[in-house]
Amino acid sequence: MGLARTLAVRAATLVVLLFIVLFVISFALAGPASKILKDEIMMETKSIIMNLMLHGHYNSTQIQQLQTQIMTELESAYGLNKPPAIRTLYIMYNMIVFNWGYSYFPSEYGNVGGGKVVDIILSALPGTILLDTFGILLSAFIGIEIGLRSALKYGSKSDRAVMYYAALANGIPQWWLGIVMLLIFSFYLAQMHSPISFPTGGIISPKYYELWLTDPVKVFTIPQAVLDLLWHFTLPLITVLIINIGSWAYFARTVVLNISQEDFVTFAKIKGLPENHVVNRYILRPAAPSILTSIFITIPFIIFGGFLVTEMVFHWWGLGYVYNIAIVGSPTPDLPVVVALTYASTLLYIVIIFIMEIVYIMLDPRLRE
Amino acid sequence: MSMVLLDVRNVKLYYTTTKGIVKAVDNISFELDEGETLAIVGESGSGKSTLAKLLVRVWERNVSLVDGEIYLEGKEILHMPEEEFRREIRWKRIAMVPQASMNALNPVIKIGDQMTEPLLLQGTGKDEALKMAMDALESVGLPRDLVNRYPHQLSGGMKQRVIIAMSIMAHPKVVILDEPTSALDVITQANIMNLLKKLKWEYKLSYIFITHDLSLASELADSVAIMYAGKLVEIGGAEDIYTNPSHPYTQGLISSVPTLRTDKTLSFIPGEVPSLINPPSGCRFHPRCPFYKDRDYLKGLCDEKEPPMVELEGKASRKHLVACWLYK
Amino acid sequence: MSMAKKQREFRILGMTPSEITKEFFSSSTGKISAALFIILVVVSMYALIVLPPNFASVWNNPKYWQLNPQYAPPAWINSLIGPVYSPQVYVHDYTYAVQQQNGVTYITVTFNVNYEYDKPWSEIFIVINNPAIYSMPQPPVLSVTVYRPDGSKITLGPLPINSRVTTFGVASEVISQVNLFYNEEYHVSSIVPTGSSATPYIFYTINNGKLTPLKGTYKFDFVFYVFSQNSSVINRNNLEIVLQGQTYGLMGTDNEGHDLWLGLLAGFPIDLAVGLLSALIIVVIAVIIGIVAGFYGGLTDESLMRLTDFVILLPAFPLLIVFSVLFGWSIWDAVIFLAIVSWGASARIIRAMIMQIRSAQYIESAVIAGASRMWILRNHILPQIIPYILYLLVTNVPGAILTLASINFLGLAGSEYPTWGMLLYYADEFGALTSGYWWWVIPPGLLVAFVAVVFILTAMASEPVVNPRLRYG
Repeated sequence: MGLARTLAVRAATLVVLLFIVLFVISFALAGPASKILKDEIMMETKSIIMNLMLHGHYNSTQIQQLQTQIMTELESAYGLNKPPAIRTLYIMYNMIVFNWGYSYFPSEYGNVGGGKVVDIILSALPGTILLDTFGILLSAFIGIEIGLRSALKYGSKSDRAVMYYAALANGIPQWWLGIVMLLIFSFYLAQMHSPISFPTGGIISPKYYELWLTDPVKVFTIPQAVLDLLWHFTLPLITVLIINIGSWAYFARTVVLNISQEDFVTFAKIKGLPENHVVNRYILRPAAPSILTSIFITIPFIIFGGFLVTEMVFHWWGLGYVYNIAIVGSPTPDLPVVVALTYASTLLYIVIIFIMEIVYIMLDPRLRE
Repeated sequence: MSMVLLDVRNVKLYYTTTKGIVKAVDNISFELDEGETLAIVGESGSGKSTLAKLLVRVWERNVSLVDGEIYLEGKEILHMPEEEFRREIRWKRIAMVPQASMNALNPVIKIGDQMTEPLLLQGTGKDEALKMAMDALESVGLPRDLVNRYPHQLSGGMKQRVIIAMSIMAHPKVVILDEPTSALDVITQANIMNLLKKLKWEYKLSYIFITHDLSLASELADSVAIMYAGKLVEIGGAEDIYTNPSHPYTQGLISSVPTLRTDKTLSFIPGEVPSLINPPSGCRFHPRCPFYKDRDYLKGLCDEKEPPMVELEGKASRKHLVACWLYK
Repeated sequence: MSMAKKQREFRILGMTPSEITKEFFSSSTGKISAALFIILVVVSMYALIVLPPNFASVWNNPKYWQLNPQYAPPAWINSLIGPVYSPQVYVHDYTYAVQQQNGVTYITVTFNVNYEYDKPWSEIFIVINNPAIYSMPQPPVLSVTVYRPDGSKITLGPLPINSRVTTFGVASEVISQVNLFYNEEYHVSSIVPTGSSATPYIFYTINNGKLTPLKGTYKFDFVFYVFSQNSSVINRNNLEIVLQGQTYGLMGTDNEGHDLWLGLLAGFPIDLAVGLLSALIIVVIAVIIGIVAGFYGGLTDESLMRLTDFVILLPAFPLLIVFSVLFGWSIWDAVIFLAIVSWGASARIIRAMIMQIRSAQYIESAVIAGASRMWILRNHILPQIIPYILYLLVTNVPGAILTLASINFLGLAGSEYPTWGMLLYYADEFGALTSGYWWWVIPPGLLVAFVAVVFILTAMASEPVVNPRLRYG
């Protein structure tokens, strides 16, 4: 009874928060971005007029009229003639029903799906899952293992080594490490005419590019393509691992250190239970909620932050890279893509948080009352 | 003449802190016979909990010295290899009910599972172990279906009983009880004391009962050892200690116990427990000792030389020993 | 007596300040972080002293850097790979003679240079810091004779000197004269490629049909013809002769010839300032919200916690990127925005602390004794949370520095001062990866990491203080 209520309240809170975030984003983009939209409309109008002039004969007054007419039409189509509040709601509504529209600059994304934002995002999703999600999960796996071993040997040399490694890993910008990796393993290896060198970027070689963007699953059925993918995947993955294993190790170490001081751990030892039994049932089990929830939280957060830039450095076709193109790489910000991506990530985050809350309650009986 | 079950000789345990080395247990010796209940009495900060942990060999990370010998039924166990100690001795022959047992239970595992753990690991069958757990719960006065509950669903007193139940399940020879009732209300305290008495008879247990409460100790104890600042200052049969307290500290303790019936002026021992990092020289009690203040011939003695254990005349079968220059 | 003494001991989290210091330094992490921190502070102060206050305008003014080579590796690279690259040479050792004849002043400047490298100097600059030059009816003229180690001689000039910096090798006379020289000596025509400077070819010879460096001592004879009686128009004080090398300085140069050593140095105070400011704002907001929520509880607490949830949920980095683009933010705008969206986690920690303290016995007794809320806040709560505040401050700095470096790397939210992130942005833009300009790419990132790591280590060393479970390892 209490459980269902708690979850319901939490779900409601999260949904409200999602709305507010969506509102803020939509408003922020609807308001100040209107100037950009106007420029956009101006450009579109000009190109339409240009097209018309090529195929027909108009005199200057007619052109003027046409121009104003087209501009007004476009403005109303983009909702510019309405006040910002309405526009905001308009954007919000479209986001929620997954009507994400078309990108302003489809060519930047290889014309995937004819410029449909949904298709663009979907095409970038596998890349992000591969590098970011898998990368983080693998790092978490390895890191937690290391952190655990380290905490059990608190104060020893290996423990201290892990601590320093974690400090370094947290302080080094991931994208910079990526640049250094590329410098060493791509540039210099190629310079020295080494037989093995790594690509300068990209997620897959151009010949498989089309296939990857439209039907990535098919790529996995072609052995050479898979090898090619792995070859491109090596440097980015190693970069991600080096940086992230450290954080997870330190985190797990801290959690375990905290829990090992608990009275019930001491009592487990008093009961004469063997070491690994104590570790598993009295340290890991109670630590599981915090560790698992951290993993859960990290997954959606990944395109927010260092990974965005990392994807950029490696030209890795993922959500972060797309985001970067949309905001910085395009002549003017590609608003449909930007809003859709931010919304999608926040939505994903909320869903995952909610799942995580359920898992947490399942793992910690104290929260069930 | 009962057999000597536990023979503790000159044990020491020091640990390091940023303030210095804490000499928590500094050269303590005593014996425990089969079926005997020894109460170890001392103020907080006297090192008695550390002594308890020493006996089960579970101590803090920052321990710097462990010394001395402990013989359980003639076999030395303090320097035994850890794995052997864990397999043979810990919990199987010597069990401990720790202080503040409220937090001694794993919050995410059911009570029953926690109770059967040691048995299952030793090869006992699941059903048999569960039955033993339920029997144990019953003998401490708790419902058998508690095995399916989680610790947070129990009250403090119930948790204490669960821990006591766990401790007897393995039929240990010695059960160390570290302040088993300090965190409980008086009624529960009385219940627990009765329970302990009952279990002692039923299972023929030998207790080491650690407490700061002399009067509580008197309910259960066959012998009493008084600890002060990491050292044993007096030890003897309960009769002797209570009727003829010889160490000034013991005397102070006894006279500070309020009585209902007689009209006694409540006295207390002035001063405070000394630091275990820099204990007073000579007899650690001398700064607070009324005799030391009073008698000049003790100056230069009590404040410089540690008094040895001296045997006194006593009625009990256990020898009455006291470490005080008054008796040399 | 000992009772009174105990009351005067000031304890935070169960430790006196001296014990806290002792615990902090007992670990090797503490010692290392303290040492590194001192280095950080010293270098930053050094940077502030050495660099002029208007360094931003200096950095962005090409005039200061025009004599430097571009994309040049550091000068010490020669000690690693041998004498390959010519270093930047500022000629100080020259003879100076003045002669006056028929109203013309002849100023002769002679100097020698040792050329022992595989790659010659790319340019010769003659700098005359005397504005009077430009106002002369007839500007001075320069004629140069180069005596090469193999005995040959090249005569170059005359070259008019009518600006502050004369770039020798791109003057058309010089180019044609060098071409002529090669034609006559080696029967090679048009040796100087179109659009290139002729200067490097002064140091080459043709061996078996191939262009090889001619190593040895070169003697340069500069004769300035000044059409005025005033011989001090060009003198030792205002004359600079610079041979532009292939390497430069301690840390090399970037695409505009900026001395990267100075650029990197400038990064210290600004990155530190930016990180500390951001962390400070975060902690201030977090403390206010945390205390209000934890202290007053009830509805205030509920609503503040919802607000905190919301702020934590906001996608900080993408919003930062979007707003930086839309509003053309500078780094200081970014600092404030980042602080405003990052205080969530810290606020939660403070609130948890406050609630924990609030439920303690001594608070209850203080309330019963009639203490006012403010009094309790000031005397019981604040001392307890000061370590946490400091700890949170230290913990928030690395994140701020890294995020701001990231946003700079994208070319956004910069400042006129060169930050490390911006250096990396330009490095990436100007092909540092494709051309291997390691000196441009590695040091800035390394320094960002260094500063972040110093704070991270400090936080790690402070953990036993704020988390009693980690003490006495």
